Amino acid sequence: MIPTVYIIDDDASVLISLKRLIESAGFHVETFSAADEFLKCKHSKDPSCLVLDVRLPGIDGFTLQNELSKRNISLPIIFITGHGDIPMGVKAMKKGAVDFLPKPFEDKDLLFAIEQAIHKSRQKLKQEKEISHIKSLLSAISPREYEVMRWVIAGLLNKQIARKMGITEKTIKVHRGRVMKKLQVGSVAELVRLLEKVGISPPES
Amino acid sequence: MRYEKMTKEQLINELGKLQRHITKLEILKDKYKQSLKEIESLEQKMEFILGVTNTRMDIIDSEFNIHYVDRESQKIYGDPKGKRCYEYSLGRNEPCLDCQIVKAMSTKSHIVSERILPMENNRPVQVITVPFQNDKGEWFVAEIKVDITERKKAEKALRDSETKFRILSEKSPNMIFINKQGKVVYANKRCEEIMGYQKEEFYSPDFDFRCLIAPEYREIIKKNFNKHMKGEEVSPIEYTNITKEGKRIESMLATKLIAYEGDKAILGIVTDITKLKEAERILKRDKETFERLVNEKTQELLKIQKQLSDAKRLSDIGLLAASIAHELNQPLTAIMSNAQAMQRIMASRNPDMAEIHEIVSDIIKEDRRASDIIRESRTLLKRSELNLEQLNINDVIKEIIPLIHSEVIIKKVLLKLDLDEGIPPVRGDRIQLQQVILNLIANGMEAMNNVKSKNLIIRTEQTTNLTVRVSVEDSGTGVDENHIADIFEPFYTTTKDGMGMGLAIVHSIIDTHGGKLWAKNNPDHGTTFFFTVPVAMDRSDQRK
Repeated sequence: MIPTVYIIDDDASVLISLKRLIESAGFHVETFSAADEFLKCKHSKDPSCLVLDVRLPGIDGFTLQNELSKRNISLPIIFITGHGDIPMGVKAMKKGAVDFLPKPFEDKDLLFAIEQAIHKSRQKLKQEKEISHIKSLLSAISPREYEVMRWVIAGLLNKQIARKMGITEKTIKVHRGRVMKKLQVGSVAELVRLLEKVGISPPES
Repeated sequence: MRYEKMTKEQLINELGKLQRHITKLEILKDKYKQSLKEIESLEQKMEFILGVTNTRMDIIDSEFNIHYVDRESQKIYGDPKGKRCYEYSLGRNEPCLDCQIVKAMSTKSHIVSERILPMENNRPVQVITVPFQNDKGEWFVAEIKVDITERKKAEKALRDSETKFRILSEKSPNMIFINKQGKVVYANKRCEEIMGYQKEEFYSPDFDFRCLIAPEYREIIKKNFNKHMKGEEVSPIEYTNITKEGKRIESMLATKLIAYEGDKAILGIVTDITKLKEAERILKRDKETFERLVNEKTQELLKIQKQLSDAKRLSDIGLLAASIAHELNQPLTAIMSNAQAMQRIMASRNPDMAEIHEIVSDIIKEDRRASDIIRESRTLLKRSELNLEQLNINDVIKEIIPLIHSEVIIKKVLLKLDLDEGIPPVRGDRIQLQQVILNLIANGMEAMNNVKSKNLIIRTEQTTNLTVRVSVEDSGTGVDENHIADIFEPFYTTTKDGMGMGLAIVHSIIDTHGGKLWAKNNPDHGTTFFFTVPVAMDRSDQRK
């Protein structure tokens, strides 16, 4: 599973030199001379990142960054620019860019940034995978079990939950057992951590 | 005793008596006739006087029957015979409710009243109702009606003038007062409103008007009042009033000496100028700030001018530097990345020699690209003497396009070249003409900063046998028609950052070339800048 580095720069010479450099560091590289070309292509499901020139004909780098976040594509971005100034860099970093490199740059700076970006991408993919796993587990939970589960992570005892829901303590116990089994957790602490990842919180009061 | 029984002597005696009686009677008769004449004459005189003075007179008894009416009245009201007074002069069926005749008769004293005469154009009269008794003891009244039209008019005029005065004074937005011998004898409503004292307080004998004046102004006002008393004129002064609450009010006081109730007094008009003074202060402060700013800006400008005289093309260099830096960074990045990629490839176990060759030739190519850019910019930036040569203006334009290439992309400008390839060569300084075109392009792009559709067209054409014309057309905001003549003046700028030197430099370059420079707003959007350069005379000497 070789990580992919996408490069977008309108200068063909720059594009090919960067492709050579990044490939020499063992990454898979795909190049584009304009942002819309990149948006049209199919993106890798494996860890990947984007080396992006700020000033481009048509859609510029910042616009592309916004567009990707709008489309919910979490692709770490390293900006490169021939017009680098600090305010522009700050703007890019604030919007979540991994790095902002003024041209010309040292290979180690670029490659370090790419490694960081790939690491970030890997983390993100892992997290997304975990979340989708949890979500698939949660799909087996019945509405009644779901309700019990939320009271459980609020720290309520079976007796208290029974009173709240108007059913017997014994039934609560059964529901609780099923939830733990379906979600493959051994303790309430584990359950809380798991649900936190998918944003499920205890009921309010 | 009967005459038949009388003696002769007795009869003679009696006859004598009778004779004497007859004589007496004759005398009396004469006297009576005389009296009648006198009465008639008196009556005529009276009627004359009544007529001349437009005075009416009548005599009425207690039953309202008319006994006498002057002749003038009879002319107007007719024969009074058999009529009651109210029927005769008022046309009423019964006595008036406030009948003065009844009142006069009951009080036995004369009454003065005023009435209008409805039958005589409502003219006002004063009626004197005089009761009297005839020798038989019967009561009558004589009514004498004196015309008072003039008096009424005068009274109304007085009333009107008083009303006017009251409105003028009491509704005045200014404070008005009269000061007689140090005492306030009149203060208008505004004085109460502003100063917070009631009129009674102002007029009180214990009231010291100096308490209304801020202490620092009391002396000058006293002096002014004294001047007035000596009959001198006094100019209005600005001073400060102090209200009952102790509030200070900036005021303007105008005074005049007047005669008031038989004495000299001072009439004063006070205007509250607090707001005015405040505005004045703000204005003054603003003016000072403005002057300071102008001074600062002038200093700055002088400094800039000094810098400019030192390096006249500073602004253009700045503009160029940014785009040169960007242009240069591209090949530098390519060289750096290529070289470092090569390093890595060489360090690997099986370096691909073919790829290395490719990389090296790319590095050389990029290096050339960088030197080209540097050379091009060096010639552009170099300050040089006017170096006239035969040039193809189209080539001059094409040479600078790469320099603005990235600026055009960044600003999303649609650049179009419409060059007439058939134009003859011109005589000019390549670098300076490039500077002119660059400046005009920069200017056009600037003008399109805030418009959506950005089109820049550079055109060349031969207009006469002797000149070639270059135009740079933008689709920007256009130039204010009122200022289209000013735009070539140094320091004329519409942008915050510009120094306003660009077009002035363009102007001076075209001037030294013997060409013309002008601008015209396009019929739809934007402006077109035109300049001409003379065609080279010697065609045989083609440019290198």
